[in-house]
Amino acid sequence: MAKKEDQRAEKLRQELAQIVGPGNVVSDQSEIDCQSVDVWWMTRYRMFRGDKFPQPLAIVFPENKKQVVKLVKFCNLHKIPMVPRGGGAGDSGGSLAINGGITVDTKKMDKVLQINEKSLTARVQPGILQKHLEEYLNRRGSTMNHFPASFHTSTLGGFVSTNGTGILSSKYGKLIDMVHQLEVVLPDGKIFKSLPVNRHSTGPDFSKLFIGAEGTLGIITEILCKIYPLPEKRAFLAFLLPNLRDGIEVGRKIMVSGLQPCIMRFYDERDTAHILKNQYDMEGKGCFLMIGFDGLKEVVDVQARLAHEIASGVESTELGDKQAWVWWNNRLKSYYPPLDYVCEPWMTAVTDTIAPYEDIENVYRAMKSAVEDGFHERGAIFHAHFSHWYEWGTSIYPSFMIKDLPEDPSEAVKLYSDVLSACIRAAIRNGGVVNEHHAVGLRLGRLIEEGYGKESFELIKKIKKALDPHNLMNPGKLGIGKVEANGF
Amino acid sequence: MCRHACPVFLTTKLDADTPRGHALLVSKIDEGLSTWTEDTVDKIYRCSQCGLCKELCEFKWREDLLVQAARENIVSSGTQPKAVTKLARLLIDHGTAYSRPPKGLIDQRSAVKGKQTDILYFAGDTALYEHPEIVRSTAAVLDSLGVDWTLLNKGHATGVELFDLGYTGEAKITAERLAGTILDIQPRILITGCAHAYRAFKELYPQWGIEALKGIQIYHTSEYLANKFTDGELKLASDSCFSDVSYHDPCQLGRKMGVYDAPRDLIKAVTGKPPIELFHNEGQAECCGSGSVMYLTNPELSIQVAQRRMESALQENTRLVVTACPNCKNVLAKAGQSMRSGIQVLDIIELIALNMKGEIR
Repeated sequence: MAKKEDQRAEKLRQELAQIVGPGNVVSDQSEIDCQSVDVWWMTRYRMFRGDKFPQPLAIVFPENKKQVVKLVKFCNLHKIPMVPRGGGAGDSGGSLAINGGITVDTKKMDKVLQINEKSLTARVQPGILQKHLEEYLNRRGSTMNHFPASFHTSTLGGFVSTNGTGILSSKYGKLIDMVHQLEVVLPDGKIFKSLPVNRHSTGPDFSKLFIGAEGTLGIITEILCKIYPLPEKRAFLAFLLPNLRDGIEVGRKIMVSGLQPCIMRFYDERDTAHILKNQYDMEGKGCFLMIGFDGLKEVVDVQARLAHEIASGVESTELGDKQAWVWWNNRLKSYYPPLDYVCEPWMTAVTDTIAPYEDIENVYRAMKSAVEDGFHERGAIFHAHFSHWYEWGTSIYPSFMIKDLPEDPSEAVKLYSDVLSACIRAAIRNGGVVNEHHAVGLRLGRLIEEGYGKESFELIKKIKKALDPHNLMNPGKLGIGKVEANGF
Repeated sequence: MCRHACPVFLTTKLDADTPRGHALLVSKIDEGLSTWTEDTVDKIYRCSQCGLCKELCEFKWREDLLVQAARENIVSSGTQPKAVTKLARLLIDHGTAYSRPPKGLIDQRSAVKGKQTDILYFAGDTALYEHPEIVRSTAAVLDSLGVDWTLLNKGHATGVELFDLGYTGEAKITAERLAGTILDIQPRILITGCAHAYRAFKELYPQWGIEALKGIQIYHTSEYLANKFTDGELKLASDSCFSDVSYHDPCQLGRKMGVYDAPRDLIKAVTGKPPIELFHNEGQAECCGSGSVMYLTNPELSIQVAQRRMESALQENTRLVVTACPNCKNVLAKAGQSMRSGIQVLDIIELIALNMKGEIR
């Protein structure tokens, strides 16, 4: 039986090789294993307990759109699941081939096709690493202003597919704000190209259907994104606020006043104590607030002065800009120990959400209580910062940690799931959403229907069904369709 | 998160070729969840040990130590690839990676045991066996300086090749043997144009407890000549019309040993201007693909990596790439030819020799 399956898999790989070339079909177990572990606690925990979960039959590297089209048509004909993949650095299992089939790795489609210096746009293939795109732009005096934690390792296509957010989002937005046009190979192999601009009334902007779709509706093959000139100046302010409420209010006032901080990061008491000690070797109580501006020197100076007035309007301690510059210079380092919390071998997850200002404090307190009170006997810890601010609300970027894991792996997996669900449900009940920018994948799929409500979720399922009737494109993600493997 | 810096990953696009991939595969073996297979062993031997991942890692993760330990483990378990065994055998039994004689006549004044000399020139295997023009150029330049020198004129593995293959014990025995040979000649100065040998003599031998070279001054050829130029003993014409020269930093000489200026100073002396810098240069220079032993164990991959480096040169409209290691010249030249790049590749010593002969003005 196993021999027959092996023969079938080998035949499939040979057929795939005819489409993309033999060097672009990989079935090395080493590569399959490496692609089976992302940043999700669950994959690493299970793999290192010898738990075998489904893996792809092959990883396929198309080099161009034509090959993607052929590949998708072939998979459609033979009903083979396809999992589009960028850098695979997500923390929700979004690029795991949990229902088998093949992984379509886009990293060989990594060219910058065109730069328009007049309209400030870049036409790019999806598999380029963000670091390389930024480097390319910097050499020409431009920037994309997208600096997420996985800047070095993730692809632009991956960011679009998860509607990612970088640290400068308060001014430059999420990926959905950064994309003008998308080209997508649909699940039937046909190509959809959205209109070349994203401000129009020519019907809905259908490019948005694919931003954050996590590859469930097609494979992105081209992206027209915004770029900006490199800023003339950066300026930072840093304050210690007495409590969470005052800090949120300062942030709100800055955003609704029309100021445009590119970066605003506000930390709860636990995170503040950690960041002060680990990044600045300081002691201090309260909540740390950091604000940054970029752009033309005169504009930056005026905005920094006005933000300073707002932050000084409450009882706060000004820390100067030194700490903020340290953070900026360590911006891609601060996500890893020792600057961030040591995670391994603890159980941990981010549970980011976003809500309007009227709800945000309640969301925070409800999530914290769900974790720390709800799982008190496990010593669950909750900490958070607020790092993506808009005129109407802000995100909360919380994480939970549990050091005392059950010895039985199945109990540990259940505990993880229970804490995560309790925390996200607390957010939903109080006006938050299932996720802000780490996407849904497998990790949060079961909560999507709760987040939208039954009727609204029906539409999502209908759209999926209409575009992908055989459920071949990244099946089981976004809470749509069955997941074959247990425990996910 | 060093994927973006790994020259092998950027060529193959495989996660298993990255430092993170290596760590994951080794961890599984370490935890008893898997064993060395042909596939995982292959991935571990594909690392070029260029050190760029560590240079760009926010936390300076020592990928070199992980790969080194993994290769030692592979060798001790007898699961190394056949190409590795074959290469190691040659190095252990014959003191060279080559089973054929060197290309062409190099020099008559080979070092003889017991014969003293002021300067001993260690060319390294790649120069002796693949690029004798480097040895001839060095001879011409040293002769023109009128110094008392001689060449260690036969294959002498430094031990680094075996070390990088995972044969640690044999590597140290080989190193001790070479150090003894050098000591017999009693040079005041030891110069080498091979960046790998330079690092071996200056950094690794002391780390391995080999003290035979302790009293000998050790220079890379470019350092020695840059000093001579500064002292006025080396005369170079600076009216060259060469304006499209780039310098490729060998990983072993630059990133690992911190020698960045000497080759650049010499290029400036010859061409009248500093080299056009490749976008990633000095400590952040990308590997040429030669790697520690990659060219010897996986020449095809090695040339593919080198093609990426030559593409960087093409982006700068370079007409001549100068480097300071025969291994770099070897793969960059081959890659350039395979791409029909039209870019010439020279070792720094060739540039000096041509200038002194008046062929570059």
